[in-house]
Amino acid sequence: MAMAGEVLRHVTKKACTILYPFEKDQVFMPKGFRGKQKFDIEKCTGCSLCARDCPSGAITMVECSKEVTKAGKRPIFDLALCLFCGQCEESCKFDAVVMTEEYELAGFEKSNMIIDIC
Amino acid sequence: MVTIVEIIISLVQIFIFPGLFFLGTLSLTYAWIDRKFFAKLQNRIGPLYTGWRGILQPLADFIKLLAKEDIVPDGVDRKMFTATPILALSVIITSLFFLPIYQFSGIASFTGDLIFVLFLMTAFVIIKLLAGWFSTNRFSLIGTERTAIQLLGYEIPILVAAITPAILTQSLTISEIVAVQAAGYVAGDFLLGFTRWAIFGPAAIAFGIFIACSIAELEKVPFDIPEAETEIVAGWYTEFSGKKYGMFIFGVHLEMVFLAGLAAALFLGGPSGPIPAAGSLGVITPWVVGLLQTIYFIIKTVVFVLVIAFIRAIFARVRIDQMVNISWRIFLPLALLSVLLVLLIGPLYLWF
Repeated sequence: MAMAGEVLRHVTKKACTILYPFEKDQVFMPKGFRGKQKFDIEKCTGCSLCARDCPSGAITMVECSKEVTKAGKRPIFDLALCLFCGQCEESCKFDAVVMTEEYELAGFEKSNMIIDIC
Repeated sequence: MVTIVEIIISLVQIFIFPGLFFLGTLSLTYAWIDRKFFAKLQNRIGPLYTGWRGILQPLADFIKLLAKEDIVPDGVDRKMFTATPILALSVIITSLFFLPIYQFSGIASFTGDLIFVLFLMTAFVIIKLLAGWFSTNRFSLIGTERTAIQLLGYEIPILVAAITPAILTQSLTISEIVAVQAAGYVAGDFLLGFTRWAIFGPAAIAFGIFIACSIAELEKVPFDIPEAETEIVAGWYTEFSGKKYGMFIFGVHLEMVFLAGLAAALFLGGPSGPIPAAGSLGVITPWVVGLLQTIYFIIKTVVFVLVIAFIRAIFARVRIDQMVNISWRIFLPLALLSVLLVLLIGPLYLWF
């Protein structure tokens, strides 16, 4: 019975539910949220520390020319395997990988899940 | 000699108003009201997208259940397993025909029908026991045993509480109980006609007992131990799926209407309410009176549904031993106390 007053007050107030797909402006992620990765090819040197440290093996290194990265390799990220743990962001000494706040990452095909920039 | 017009009127009464179609719609609407109010109390929204503000949600759930696969477990007695949902639904619909909705007596009415209606209420719960027993599943068995213990506990208090207005109005016929309570409104007393309702007399405690035991009958929190989802899957209706489950769920919704209607008839004067006298609005036809009385009936039963939803929101589930404790040591003495009060003060009420 102790809750009775508070429960009845809820009837007159607006519900705390956000109607998500239609009212997206009220949904915001806190600082430090680990969403989709943003990869800056300018800063990358191809050291492959991110690929080595990734616990689920979501990062693979592919060949590219020596003008793009110093070591001639660049990472591609597979979001279907990614755990969003943030280890790649921590491992990268050159701040090339940053986890952004983008969270709407669902898709229908596995091929859409691979972030392959340039 | 029964004329063809009477047959047609009877058929309309049974199937459309206030029969199957009206009661079905009412039960689904009350299920929606219950869910929406319960959600509002919990600071959330409830059903929203099916129809206007989600009003078609219970209907959508029912249609979905009708379309699902009907699995019959291996070792069950097929005849009884199939029969129990049908029996449950027919018992509850039969008992609904006795409730007064738009006039002071139901579609079916005979002397002493209160006892028959209370018996049908008990029979509905016994059929739930049969349903759990014929499922041959140990979780259903535990649920059935808990239903049986709960039934033993609250059945006597609810019967005593239901008989209290009968003692007060000196009649065991639902139509007469309603008529005695409605005498104030029939005589044209708008403002104070409601003071003749049994709830304002010495039967107030009995009304409280009736509500509490209705919650136990409907197996809602705090008395939903027989269907404790977190403990025994679903209790006595674990093995039912598809159409059979749909019939049970529809039966439970109808039971809510039934208990609400019974509480309204016994304690709140049924469909009685302020009705403009025959001369004041020109020709008051029976249609307008019937419509107004239906509206009053709906208002009273909706209040009952809202009270049950509110009690669901603020209490937690009781254990089965706490349930037995409450029913035998709190409900039963209070019910007997209300009978004592009615026997002592009742004649005064009738004299007024």
